[in-house]
Amino acid sequence: MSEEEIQHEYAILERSKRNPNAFGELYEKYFDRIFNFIYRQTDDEELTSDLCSQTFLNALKNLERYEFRGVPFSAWLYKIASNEVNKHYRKLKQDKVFSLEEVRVRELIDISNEGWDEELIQQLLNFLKDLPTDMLQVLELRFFEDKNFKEIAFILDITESGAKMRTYRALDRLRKNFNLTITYNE
Amino acid sequence: MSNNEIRLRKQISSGRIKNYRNYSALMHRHKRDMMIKRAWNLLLYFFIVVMLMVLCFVAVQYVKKQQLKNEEKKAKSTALVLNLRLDKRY
Repeated sequence: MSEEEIQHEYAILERSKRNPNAFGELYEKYFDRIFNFIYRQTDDEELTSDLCSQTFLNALKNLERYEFRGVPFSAWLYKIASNEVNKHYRKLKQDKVFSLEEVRVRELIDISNEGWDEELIQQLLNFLKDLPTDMLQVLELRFFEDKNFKEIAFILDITESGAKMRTYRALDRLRKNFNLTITYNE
Repeated sequence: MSNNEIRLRKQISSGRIKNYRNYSALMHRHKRDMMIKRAWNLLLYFFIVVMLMVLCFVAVQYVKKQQLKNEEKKAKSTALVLNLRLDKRY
């Protein structure tokens, strides 16, 4: 995200503090991304819709408290969304669901020589199932939301080095288990 | 080891997501929430003011009672001194 875009968003936020209607522009811009982010952790459209509304509602309510901390405004929205999802699972005392887009998984993983077959998919799902939740969250933000480590650290309330460490550990495990080439730019 | 469930699914279309996008409903909820918050705050302030008034009233009553007690004590001791003086004279 360019400096200019960040400044533009900041100006909208300042306007939104005085007039909440101005927040509409940011709502339209980020709704799909936040919806997808939550949907990936719920696999339930209605629930995602509720949590997404709650996320934007909380953002509107706490707009006065928002201050720029070197990450785009979207990171703040992701943080609120992540907290909402965690709150939901804590309340229900359920295990988390991660529903990944097949297309996106295929895009990310090039399986050298072997090709993409159902058995391998199942193995991969089983492998991901065994990964700790914090690693899955980092992988989701890094590879499905294309967030940088600074943003991931802000969203998950961890240090930047912690975010890097979690990602590399998860990737190491993936490489060792599947002999995969993961395409992404650091 | 976690017990998360991992699923693969088709990508959700933006047209489908659009069905859930409703900014006017969000603003409506926000306004309602703000109104409730304001009413709640008002009620809280009112309660605090009432509590302060009750506290003041209780404090004033206590001070008055103490003053009355002190006066009574004073009167009693004066009477006692007077009685003693009278006893001495006669």
